[in-house]
Amino acid sequence: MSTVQILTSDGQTVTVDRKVVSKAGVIDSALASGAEGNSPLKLDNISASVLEKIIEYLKHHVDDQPDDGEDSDDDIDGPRRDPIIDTWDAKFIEVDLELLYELILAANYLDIKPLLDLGCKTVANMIKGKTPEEIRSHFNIPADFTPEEEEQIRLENEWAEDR
Amino acid sequence: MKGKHPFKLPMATSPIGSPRDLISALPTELALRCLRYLPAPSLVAAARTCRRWQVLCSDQTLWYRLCRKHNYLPRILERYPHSTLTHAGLVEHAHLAPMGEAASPNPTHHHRRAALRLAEYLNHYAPPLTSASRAVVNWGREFQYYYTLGTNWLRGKYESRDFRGHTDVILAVRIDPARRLVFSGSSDHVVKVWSLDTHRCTRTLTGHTAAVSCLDYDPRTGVLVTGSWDGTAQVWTTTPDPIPHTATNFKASETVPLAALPGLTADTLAHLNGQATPVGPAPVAGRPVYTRRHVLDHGEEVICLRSKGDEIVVGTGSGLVQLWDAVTGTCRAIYNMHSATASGAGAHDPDSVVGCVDFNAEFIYVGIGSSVAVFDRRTERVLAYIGNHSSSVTALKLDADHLVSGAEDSSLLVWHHDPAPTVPTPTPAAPFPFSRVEPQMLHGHLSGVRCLQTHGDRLCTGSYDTTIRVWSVGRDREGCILKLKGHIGDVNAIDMTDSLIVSGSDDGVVKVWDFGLPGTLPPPYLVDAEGYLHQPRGRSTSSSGRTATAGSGGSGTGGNGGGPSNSPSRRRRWDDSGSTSSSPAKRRSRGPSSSPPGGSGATGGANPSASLASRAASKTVPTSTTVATSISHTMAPLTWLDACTQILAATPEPLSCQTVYDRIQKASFASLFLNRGRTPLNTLSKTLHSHARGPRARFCLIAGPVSNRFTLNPGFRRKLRDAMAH
Repeated sequence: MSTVQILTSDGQTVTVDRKVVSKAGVIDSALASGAEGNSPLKLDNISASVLEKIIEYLKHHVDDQPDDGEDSDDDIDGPRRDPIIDTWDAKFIEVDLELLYELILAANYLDIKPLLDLGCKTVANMIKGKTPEEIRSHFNIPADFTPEEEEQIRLENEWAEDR
Repeated sequence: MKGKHPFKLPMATSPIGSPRDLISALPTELALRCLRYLPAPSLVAAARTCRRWQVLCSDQTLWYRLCRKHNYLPRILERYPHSTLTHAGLVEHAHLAPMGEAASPNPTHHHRRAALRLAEYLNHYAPPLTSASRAVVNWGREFQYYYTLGTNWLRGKYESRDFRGHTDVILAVRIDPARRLVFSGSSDHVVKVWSLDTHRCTRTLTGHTAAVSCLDYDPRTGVLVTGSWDGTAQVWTTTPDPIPHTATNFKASETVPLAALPGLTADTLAHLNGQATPVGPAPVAGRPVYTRRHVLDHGEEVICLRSKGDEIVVGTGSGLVQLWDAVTGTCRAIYNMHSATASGAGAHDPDSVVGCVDFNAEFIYVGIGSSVAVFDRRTERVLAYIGNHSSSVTALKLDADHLVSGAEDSSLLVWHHDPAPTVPTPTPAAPFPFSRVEPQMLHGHLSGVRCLQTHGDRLCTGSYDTTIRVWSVGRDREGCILKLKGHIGDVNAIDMTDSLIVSGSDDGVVKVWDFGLPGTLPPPYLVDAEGYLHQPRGRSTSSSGRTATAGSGGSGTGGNGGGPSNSPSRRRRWDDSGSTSSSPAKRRSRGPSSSPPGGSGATGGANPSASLASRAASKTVPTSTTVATSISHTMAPLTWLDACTQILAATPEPLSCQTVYDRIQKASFASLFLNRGRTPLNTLSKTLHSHARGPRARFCLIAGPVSNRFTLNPGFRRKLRDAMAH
């Protein structure tokens, strides 16, 4: 089985199965366009640890059928349906916020749509059902509204509460 | 914000690491990708955390998605001028309008596909909506409106109002949502027309010589049909007469075959009707004129009828179903339900009357005896009897998604359209819709169901137990959501819209149950080529009048104007949502609302277009008459186009084709009529329409529910003004 060498942003070289890594759209097209040669593929903005995590994900999903792609994020579902996360994925994405941040960026950069969706859903699940104060403390956000502004925003958004 | 403090990744993945503001750190598109998985309450909570989050959470794409998720899309788009959304290639969207109801074989599927296509389009081109002359849907505010409306229905928050005036029991009611009218038919032989804004009876239509047992109104054609126990059904057009100079020739009591009028086809009829501002010989401007077109003589009492497009289906006392042409007033066919039974289908009591009827292009559903007959219009046979009520079926409604029947045994049956895509299956066992579907039975009324109406996934029923019940009949949720008490007699008639229920009862009272939010329906905006916002439909009078009478606008911030646009804080909030996409057009589009205090303050409760208009008028445009005459002297109008331009240049208001026609006549451009075609109104209409396509066109088309109005493109108006100044 052919392998691919990848040079990460922190200078490490990682060797991966070609089959696994070609699940990432960007790498796949880079390989397809004949960029393989002998020199390792350079990924300037992905560190070894993030890459490792991503490869873990890709390995698990290596046999997944690719989505038909087009409308998978545009499907019309009911207003009450929660984003569904697979059990393995849920376990996999149980990471701290900083790694989650890196994973979302990397998934976007590498064009791994399922991982990007997974990351985004995870963030959404962190926000869901929380009060503004809870969200602030979870994400460590400083409140930058004046009390008047805050009151006004609260009034404007009363309509969405408790239903 | 991103990369402000680059951090080293910890190798160990602790469950909760050092918290950081992920959303603000991510690039906008990725942050939005996260936020789009949030339901509305969470999105609103997120908006309250900090400024950056507030901006992100106000993004229109998020709210568009929520509107779509909650299935508000068809209802929203219905209110927007189709042309402005379609001219850029979004033709399919037009099918979202209720036209598809009768025609499409599988409307749900069709809606869905059309919505997806629209989504595709919007995702590519909007937001930001930068190009000119496009309807701008404020998805955030639209969502807020429909969400709050939904909450009101769920919680039973409404204002009720009584219309008193009939001297006998009410047997039929119908709402005209576009003009905010209610028609009611009573045992006192008359039909009354009520205004939902003034809460007064505006007209009493006489002519029937017995109780008015049923009536139907098709908002697309503006045709009102009333049926009576005197054995007739009468067809009324509810608009100013399309040919004004002949209008004086006949009175309301005369029967004039519509087709005999020159140049008037069903199309132009639909096109011309629905104007709230009749002109010419109309007795009082602003009042629709009701003209009886036909008396359809049935020879026996009319029990029920349904009018759709140019077809009227009438059910009579002896089991006959008659199909009439609404335009010509001729009977197309008479079907005898007793003899049309196909072999093998269930039999029923030969004395039973046709209790209720509904139809589409393929089938007529007839409530006869204790079941619903499915009548195939092609073969003219009853295919089957469906439903297992234990006594007479009294009410029936077919809509895009359901067939609902109610009976005197207090039961309700709901058939959902077959979820499987309708492939033409030649299975003899399943030759008609609903044959493979088990109906759902709803119970709740303490006595027989007398009338019912559906709107979307909502069903309302009136009963002999004097109550009204509102049911949810969506696939995910079924059951009674509301019980309305107020009548002291049997509820005989009911109609509903998005925000209203109107009911008529044995107590002689027409009741309006208003779940709407007075004055907060977001007006559809149009951004024209100049970057001005327009409010395409002239709702200003109705909405402001309504708020004035209703008086309770909710909170102090939102309820004091004719529309939400007048609430400065709210307005700004949703407009700010465009700030993630800082397009120049978007920013400029805030022009009218942020106009100098003098301008907006002076117009007060009026809508943006009115303030825009008054601003424009106060600048350079003299009063309409002077301009009209002055132009007619300076430029010799040779073509219809020139004539239209001059008429429209004289006024900032949008005018209907009819109005333009009248003014052209008055402005002594009579030479036009001598040498240009035999159907001047048609020619005029064609001229106006063909010059109202695209952002650079001379006219702007403002589509109403049934008729279009036109105004001069502001860019062109400016040019014209400059040209006149020199």
